[in-house]
Amino acid sequence: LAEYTINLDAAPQQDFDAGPLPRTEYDLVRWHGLAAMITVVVSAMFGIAVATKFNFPNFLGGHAWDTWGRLRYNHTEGIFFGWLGNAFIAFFYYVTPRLTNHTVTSRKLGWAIFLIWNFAVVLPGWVLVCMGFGQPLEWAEFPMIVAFFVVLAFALMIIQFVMPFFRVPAGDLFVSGWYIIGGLVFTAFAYPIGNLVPQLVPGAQGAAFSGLWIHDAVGLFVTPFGLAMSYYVITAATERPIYSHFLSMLGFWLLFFIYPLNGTHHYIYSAIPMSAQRGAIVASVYLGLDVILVVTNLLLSLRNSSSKVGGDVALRFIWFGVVAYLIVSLQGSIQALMPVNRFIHFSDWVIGHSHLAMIGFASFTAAGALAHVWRNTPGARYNERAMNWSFWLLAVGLTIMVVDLTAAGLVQSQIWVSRAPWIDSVRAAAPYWLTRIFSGFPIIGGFILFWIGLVTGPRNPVESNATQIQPAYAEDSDSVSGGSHRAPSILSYAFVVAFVAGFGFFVLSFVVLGIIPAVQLEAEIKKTAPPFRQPLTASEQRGRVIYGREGCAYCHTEQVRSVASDIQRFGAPTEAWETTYDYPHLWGTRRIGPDLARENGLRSDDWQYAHLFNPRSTVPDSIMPSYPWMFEASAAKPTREAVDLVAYLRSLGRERVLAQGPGQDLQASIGMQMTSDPEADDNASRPETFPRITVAGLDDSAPRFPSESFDPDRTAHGRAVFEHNCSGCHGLNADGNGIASTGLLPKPVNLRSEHFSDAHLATVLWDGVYGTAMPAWRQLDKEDLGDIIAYVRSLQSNVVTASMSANELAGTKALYYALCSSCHGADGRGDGPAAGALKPSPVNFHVRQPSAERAFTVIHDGIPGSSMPAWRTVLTDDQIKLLIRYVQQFYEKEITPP
Amino acid sequence: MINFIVVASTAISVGFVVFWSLWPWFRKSIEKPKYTVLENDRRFRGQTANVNAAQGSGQNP
Repeated sequence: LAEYTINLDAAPQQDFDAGPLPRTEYDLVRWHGLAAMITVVVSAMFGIAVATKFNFPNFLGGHAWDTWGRLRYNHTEGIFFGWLGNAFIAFFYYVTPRLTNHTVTSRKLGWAIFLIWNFAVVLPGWVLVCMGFGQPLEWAEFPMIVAFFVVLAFALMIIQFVMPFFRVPAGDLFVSGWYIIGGLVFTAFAYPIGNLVPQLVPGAQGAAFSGLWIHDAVGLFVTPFGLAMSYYVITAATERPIYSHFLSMLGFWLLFFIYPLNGTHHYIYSAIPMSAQRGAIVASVYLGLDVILVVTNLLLSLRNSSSKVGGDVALRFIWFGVVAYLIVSLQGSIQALMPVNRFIHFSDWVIGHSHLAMIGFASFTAAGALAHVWRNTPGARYNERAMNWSFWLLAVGLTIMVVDLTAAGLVQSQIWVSRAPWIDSVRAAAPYWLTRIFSGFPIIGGFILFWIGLVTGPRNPVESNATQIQPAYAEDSDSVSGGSHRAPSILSYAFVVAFVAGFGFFVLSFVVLGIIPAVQLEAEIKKTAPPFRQPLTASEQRGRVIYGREGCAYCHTEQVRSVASDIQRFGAPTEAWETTYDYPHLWGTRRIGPDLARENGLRSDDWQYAHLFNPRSTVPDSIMPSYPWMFEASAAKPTREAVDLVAYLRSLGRERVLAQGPGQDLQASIGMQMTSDPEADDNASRPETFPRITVAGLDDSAPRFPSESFDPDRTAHGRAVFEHNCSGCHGLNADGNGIASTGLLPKPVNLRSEHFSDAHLATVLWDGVYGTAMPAWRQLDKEDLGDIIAYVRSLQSNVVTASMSANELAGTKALYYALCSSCHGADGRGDGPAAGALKPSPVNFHVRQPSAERAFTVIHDGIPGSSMPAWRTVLTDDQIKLLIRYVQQFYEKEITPP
Repeated sequence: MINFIVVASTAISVGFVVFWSLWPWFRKSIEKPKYTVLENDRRFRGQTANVNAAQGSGQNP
């Protein structure tokens, strides 16, 4: 091997056409280079804005166009198409003549590609996403009309850049050329498939295809072109051949075979067939091995070049990119392993990983190549000092960001596998997100300096028609790679072979990762789907589009994975048949908020409206964006968009609930014991968040939390928990006037105006209150729930001991029977004949004792949003006062349910 | 699926190594492009170098 790979002094014989050099389209190099710099700075600003909204959700105000989801789409698509796409194309214009000894196909075609790429893809893509036309497909968020122009651009790029390779025998084609042909051809097919198929093939089946593109965007667009840049710039900047072209070709073929098979590793533990998941895991491990091979070859190519790497900023960018490529690829292989994936998936660990890939590998490599191209572009300015500062700013910013997000991911994951409430993970991540914002400034500063480096400094000499100089070793005729060694005819045309790499392996992955799992899923769905289905209504469908366009799926997954922590927290795992109406699927690959696959029945519409209008009103520590433009100035006045969106949220998991037979617990159906709490007793038999409808205000199965209102520490802690979780609706003073209360009907209870039994408070916290915005709080620790009860009890005055004379009692009892008993029951237990049909259920006076003032208001004016009517036209004030004393006497006489 | 990936990856790797070890022409021809590309890059940069030399210092190399 050494004989053929390390012989640097060996002189290759020139066997290419030694005539005039082919033209390099330097104008297009410059225009694409500048477009890359403009778009990377804009995209990075989108990124900073998105990151800032994690800590300051109202940053930039509550406009539709700059909401988190839309800016997030523009951030990633801008980096992908604007920055990397333009940088890659600039490099192609520079390198194609050098690899093929032929000019690109057409200068006019070049300008057409430039205009399409920037003015039919990037710019309109950003505008349309801001206008609300984005689609929830990763790396394909620009709307379909833009996707059409992307495909057109790729077709033109194949004509522009691949056709010159047609005249190059395979034996003469440098590895960079292989990667360029393979990457262009593969992406030209994979991108439309990733865009189109999930729109046509629903749910889990569509996700199988979607995973293909998610991974191929990085694996078969970014990686091949990044490696093409690395191999070329290392050769050109060191002025030495790479270590081994044999190893580079082995790496190329393994990469194009293995990379496309990785896609499903984004959906480990999902409803996609396990055989496809396992295959993707094995492919991921093999990919790591291939990357070790590729990086070893690249780093060996830099051996004895440490001074050049240190002194040549372009080469240093490339070196950093190569090292990042190794780290991020090995990280990716490890992340795909089930025990690791189970823990860190959906967390910020993955976001750190993706930034390491897209900045550490892709952007550093693209920057190195662009710097190299620029300093060799006639007439261009090049400022080495600015480039040098750019490198260090980018390196420092990226390192802080990746370390920070990796740590944040570990913290989030640890909380998610515990029984702590979801919002705790949001609170815990806040300092890390703040650090991430600051890490973004050196990165954006680095890109700006890089831009400055391309437009300032000394100007390169203009191109001449001077005859080429002869390299020093050209006279040596004892070349190890002399022209007498010809490849056999089967390898005569590089493009044929590279097309195999691009198209052949695309077809392979399409079949293996898309078609086969889809066929398996079809069979599984036929077998497991219930006979009667309930498709989405028109309103729910419209809500689904809004959900996708606003990027909700980028913070809330819609898939409960088959892992214990997911099931414990969210309910039964998502099955393939549940997703058969999802065009496209909205599974998501990240969680900032909780999974929504089982949202049906968990919260009232009022709660959802209040939450959408101002998330902090119902969840004080929420970082969710507000959507005020979906309302007419108040949560109580939703527009049609809000109504549709809430209708869609209400539908999530509905089919699964309907498919369950009476008394059939979700958890029992999956046969798993999910609780890790040995004292969880019978409550472990169903998922923690599964709500119950409770009549008469008592649930025997609700745990009786230890509430010790006499303990000041417990009460103080209860107050803190209350303020974090309950004050949005009930108010900081617990008087029912929280900021969300204006949009809620019935209004939240004034906890100071009534007396509640411990058992009732436990029931309310455990089950929520059906027909009101009060959700179940089972995600809170039981001790915390007990402390909330202690705090609420501490707010209340003493129980009223009502007494009535025999006459008053007889008259009031008759009045009560006539007017109240049909709902509240003959004995005031809220179990009258009409009670079952009412929501919320009528009050059980044995567990709730309203103050005289509160009771008078209720009887006199009724309770808007409930079935309690106003009796002021029927009853006199004296009669009302008698009724108050009558119902007050029931309190705590009997606390067992009827 | 797993078997397919393992077998195919192994076949690609072994195929390359077998070609490399059995056929000398392959060993030589597969290394050739790394020299060719270096040569070509120098030819292109020669244009700039010539102009640079003619115009004197103060400009990028």
